[in-house]
Amino acid sequence: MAIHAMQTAPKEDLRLVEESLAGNQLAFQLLVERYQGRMFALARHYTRNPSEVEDIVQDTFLKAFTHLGSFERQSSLYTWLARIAINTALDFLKRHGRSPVQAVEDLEVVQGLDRSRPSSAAPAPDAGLEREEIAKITHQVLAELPEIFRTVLVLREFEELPYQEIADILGISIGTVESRLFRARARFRDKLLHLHPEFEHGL
Amino acid sequence: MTCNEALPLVWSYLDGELSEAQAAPLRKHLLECHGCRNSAQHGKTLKRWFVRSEADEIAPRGFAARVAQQAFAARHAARATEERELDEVDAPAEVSGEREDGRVFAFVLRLTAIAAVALFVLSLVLRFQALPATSGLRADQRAEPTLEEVKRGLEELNAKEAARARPVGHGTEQK
Ligand SMILES: [Zn+2]
Repeated sequence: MAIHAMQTAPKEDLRLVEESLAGNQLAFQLLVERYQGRMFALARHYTRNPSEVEDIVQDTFLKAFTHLGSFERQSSLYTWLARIAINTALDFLKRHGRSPVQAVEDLEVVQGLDRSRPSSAAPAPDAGLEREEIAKITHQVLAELPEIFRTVLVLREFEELPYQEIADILGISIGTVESRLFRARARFRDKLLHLHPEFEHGL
Repeated sequence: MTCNEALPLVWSYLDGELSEAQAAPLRKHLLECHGCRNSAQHGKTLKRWFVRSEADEIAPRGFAARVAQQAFAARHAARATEERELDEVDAPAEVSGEREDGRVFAFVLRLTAIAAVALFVLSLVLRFQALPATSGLRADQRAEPTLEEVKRGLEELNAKEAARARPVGHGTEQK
């Protein structure tokens, strides 16, 4: 059903992968340069500590290098890297005793998964807000959400991935992606209004 | 399309997950139905909060080069270990420093081997010196015999010992 076809690895990515496997260090460096920005942005949704962020992204690329031979040529390199990055970030949080906020299967929310109200009135970012200011508020709200909701929102809204790719990354079904996104959006909206009631009458 | 059919599709529509065949009737409904249009508008508004932060995409200077170097250094180390396990002495090290170490190691091994041979020869010499003159080696030969001479001497000794221990006739078999 997805309009987006599954992104396939562009030729340039494949070439860099092949050359890295053949022992070309520069090729691997170029590959890292291609994706480091998105990986840093991803990691920064799990910790704001700069050295921890760097550790997570570094580990991500080192793991990717170790397993480069098992990268499936027909899948997207970004999707593959994002999966490694998210797992690395979650492992990292667990190792450091900062177990990510686990989502409790909240019966109320599950039962309230009433598709007749896909979106109640949403607060709107003030027209005068700068891009980075909006990003900062959103970041703050996301940090308060259980990890499973945060991750699914990040992948959908920032990374703009199709449901199918999110499902692949998280190892869940498309149906689960949809319902999790729905709940995540409801949580996001509530938390945003709670932290910033001043935006209530936006729109 | 009814509201009950339309509303569950709104998020998928906003996320670009609907095919044109699914999206067309929904769009038509949204044009006609104020309530559903409102819901879609709320969804769009919520999405406006998700703007990528450019600052968040900045990587530290030299990051990629550092990571690439680390990745390859780790691979070289892993390979070198594998090869060393296969062949303790002749592992070709790939990093120049390791190649240097390898050469030194081989040299030390060679020295050790030479020293071992020298010690063996010395021990034989000392042994022959201690033997009585009747053993077949003349006393004046004790000065630095060559390895060949030592070997020959040893074989003679063995032959004699064998001849003594076994009946005559079998002694020559064992040389
Ligand atoms: Zn309607």
